[in-house]
Amino acid sequence: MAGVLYWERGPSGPEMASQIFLLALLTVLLFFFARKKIWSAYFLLLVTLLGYSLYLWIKPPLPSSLVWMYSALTTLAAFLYVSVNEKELQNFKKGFQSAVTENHPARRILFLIFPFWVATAVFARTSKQIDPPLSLRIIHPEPPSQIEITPPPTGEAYSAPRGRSAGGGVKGKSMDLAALENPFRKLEKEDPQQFLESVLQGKHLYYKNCFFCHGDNLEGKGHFANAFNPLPANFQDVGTIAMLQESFVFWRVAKGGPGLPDSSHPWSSAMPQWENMLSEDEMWKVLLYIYNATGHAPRTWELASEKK
Amino acid sequence: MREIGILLNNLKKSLLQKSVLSKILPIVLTLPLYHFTTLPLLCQDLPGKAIFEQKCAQCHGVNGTPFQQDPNNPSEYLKHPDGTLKTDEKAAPAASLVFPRPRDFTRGAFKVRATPNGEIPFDGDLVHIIAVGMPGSSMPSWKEALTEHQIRDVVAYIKTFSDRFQSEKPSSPLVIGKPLKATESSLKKGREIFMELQCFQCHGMEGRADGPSAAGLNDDWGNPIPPANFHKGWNFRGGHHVENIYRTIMTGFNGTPMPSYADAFGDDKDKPWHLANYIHSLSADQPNTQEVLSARYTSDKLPDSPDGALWNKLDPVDFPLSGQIIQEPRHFTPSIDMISVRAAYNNEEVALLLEWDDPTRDVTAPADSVQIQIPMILKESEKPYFMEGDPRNPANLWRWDAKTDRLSNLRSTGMKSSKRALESQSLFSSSSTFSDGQWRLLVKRKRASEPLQGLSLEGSQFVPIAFSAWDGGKKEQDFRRSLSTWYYIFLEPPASKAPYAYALFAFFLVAGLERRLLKKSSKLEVPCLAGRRGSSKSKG
Ligand code: HEC
Ligand code: HEC
Ligand code: HEC
Repeated sequence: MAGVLYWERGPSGPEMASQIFLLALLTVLLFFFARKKIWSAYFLLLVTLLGYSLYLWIKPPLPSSLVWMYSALTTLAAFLYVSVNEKELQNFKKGFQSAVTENHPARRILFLIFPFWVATAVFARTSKQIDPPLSLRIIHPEPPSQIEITPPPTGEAYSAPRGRSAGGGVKGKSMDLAALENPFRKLEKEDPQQFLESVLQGKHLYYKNCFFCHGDNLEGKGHFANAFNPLPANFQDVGTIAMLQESFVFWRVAKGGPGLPDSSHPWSSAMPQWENMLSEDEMWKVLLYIYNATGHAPRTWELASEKK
Repeated sequence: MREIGILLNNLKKSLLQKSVLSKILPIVLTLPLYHFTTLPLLCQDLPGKAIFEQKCAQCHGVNGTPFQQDPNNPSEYLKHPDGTLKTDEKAAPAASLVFPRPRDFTRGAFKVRATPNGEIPFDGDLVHIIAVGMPGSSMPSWKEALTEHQIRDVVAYIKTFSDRFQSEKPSSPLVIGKPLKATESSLKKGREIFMELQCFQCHGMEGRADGPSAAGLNDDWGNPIPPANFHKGWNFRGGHHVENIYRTIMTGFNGTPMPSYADAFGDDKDKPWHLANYIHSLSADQPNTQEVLSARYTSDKLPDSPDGALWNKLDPVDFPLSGQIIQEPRHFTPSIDMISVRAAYNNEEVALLLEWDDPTRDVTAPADSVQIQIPMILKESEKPYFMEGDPRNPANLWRWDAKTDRLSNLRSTGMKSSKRALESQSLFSSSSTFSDGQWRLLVKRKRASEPLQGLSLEGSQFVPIAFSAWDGGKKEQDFRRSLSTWYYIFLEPPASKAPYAYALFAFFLVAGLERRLLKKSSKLEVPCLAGRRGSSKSKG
């Protein structure tokens, strides 16, 4: 099926027009300041222009708080720079003044574009389709300190194939997340053969359970991925398992979408609650595989040198 | 910190997607970000066998076949009672859970080739198909994960699974040449050729994979294989460009019932292009996926049937569906992968027109069914769990089945919960048609309702909506279904002219101010900026 990577309602016609007019306005001003050699105003404008075009390019749109932070910071920095030097300040003021009061071709162009920009912007604002409620979910919330794992029911109840080694879980076992470690990881040093065997079992489990969503190549593009919003996590990306502790990832796998706190929108995540379908050991082995196959290492709080 | 993460992520995504920038900027900007992920892949120059065992064997089998060979007769495979092949759980763990099954390479039969029907492919054919993948199946595209060099290594290794690559040589390649322009008359001729060559026997009169022989088709291994649905070109294994379709028509798909028509056109070089143009014209390039389904306001009466004229004025939104693989019992090989919806409303009612493709009309249990889901109560910051709600936030299900041809209105607190039936007679009406492999279902619901019967649907409101579908003919019911996560339905406010007035007003206001400024500054200018002006003039 064809891929949609994220949800986006493109800018409407008037929105696009007003963006183009604004870009044109800023560019004309930029040329004007460059000719006048008013560099402080030039840089202030350049930064604004860059920020604005970045804002237009980045999809999905940035959280507005970030845009504001950027504008505020750069404006502040520019003003600080300008106001330390009295001469520069005068120059700067004059620059802006002359842009509107002096008679030169740039002003004619500015005065021509400006009303169009205002009109299109007003039109875009007033005719704007209301956007759907912004769903900014927290992707990596604070995990609970303790979790209780309920092993999957065994026996004939389910016909769908499960992992290779069935059962193994402990009944309603409660776990302290801070102290939790992958019991198979220590094998890497102690018994490399056994470790590889566990990774291989993890691979089997991955291709029996996860790749439909998280993809063959663990990049989040499985053949069912498009039907879900949010999209399945991309394990190759440095922003997912690579920056997480293994106990956190274990919690995510065991409790899935429904285990997330409200700030992470548990109601919309298709991530299954694997404690219902895999044993504890099986979940650890899948984790072994997804780290191994991507070449990432789980994040630890211990010193890196101690681990190596 | 998290916001910086979002920023980087979004930046990376958008840079990779903007075609203009994709050439230079990603190299400069995203290399540091991608450094860690691509490095291991680029550095390890694995020979074909190792790559195959690491990346392909879980589907295609360590020995090049996902199926279990008969120990007594190695050229035969073990079968399930229904005639389908048993897959090898150990050598190819993913094979039993995907449909179509991964390819068995031991027979040297490949679908997407430039070689004549029945022949082995060129190496280039294999490199190409591995790089781009096979849409509509689980065979992914490998061009981002493997280098071309690595793909060539894998191809060399795949060829060792079949003796045919030793004993046979492909003959002349198909020369595709330049497509004909898809004019009205070309499309008309294409349709005539479609009828003449009886493509409809398998593909159906309207190309929805519902032809009279469609149901019984098997591939050379004995696994069932449905014909392609021409309205979903994005699922074509060999690609959806008109050149791809031309190639499929001329060389056929080895190992499948899809024949080659290379000899069917005589000396007429245009005929296959007319046919390819016609097939190509039946599908959009991509499904029209949107987050919001907008319902258009009308002051008139809403149509009573799926054929009402209003529907032609609205663009359908396509909602991709996945198999229900989230709770046991899971369903890995769903039949319906998409549902298309249009919506309209007036002061009393909301109407949804649902369309989905299903090769057979199944009105006995398990019957074809579909379900629309909205929250029972609208909350600003919470939704019910997307799979039929949860105890804290129940969902409202409008379930239709072909057996009763009626809607039931249900309240649900989860997939496993028992559903409470709500009053539906006075709220709902529906009307359905089935023709040429497509269901069209019109659902109308009163906008105002008692709180216990479901939401009152007000204008300018974003109401979460999700869909499920069942194909009775494939024994789908209950948990065995296709489903989506949450989207929104939005009752668009009636169109208004006010924005034009605002814009015009703003324009004249600003222009007027500018004029005043011009007048004023022309007076000011002379004393205070004359010197400067003079100098800039002398320069220019
Ligand atoms: C039905 C599709 C689906 C399947 C099957 C699935 N996942 Fe997920 N998974 C998702 C989605 C969607 C997300 C992103 C939303 C979220 O974080 O809950 C996700 C997120 C995750 C995350 C969180 C990553 C992060 O950065 O926080 C982990 C870890 C994960 N999945 C592991 C697995 C493993 C291991 C399996 C197999 C045992 C699996 N998933 C199977 C859909 C799926
Ligand atoms: C997730 C399972 C999966 C993985 C992993 C996978 N494939 Fe496939 N592959 C398939 C399926 C399914 C088909 C058959 C699709 C069809 O027949 O419609 C297929 C078909 C093929 C074909 C036949 C193309 C043709 O023209 O008929 C080739 C060649 C191929 N795969 C090569 C590879 C290689 C090489 C790799 C590893 C780099 C790989 N596959 C990994 C599932 C997979
Ligand atoms: C005997 C049945 C049969 C007939 C007759 C038939 N096809 Fe097909 N066709 C199939 C099957 C089965 C497939 C699906 C193959 C697959 O999925 O691998 C298919 C697939 C296709 C595809 C999609 C290829 C792709 O890339 O996925 C096209 C295009 C196509 N057929 C065109 C035609 C045309 C045009 C005709 C008439 C000239 C025709 N077929 C006649 C059985 C048939």
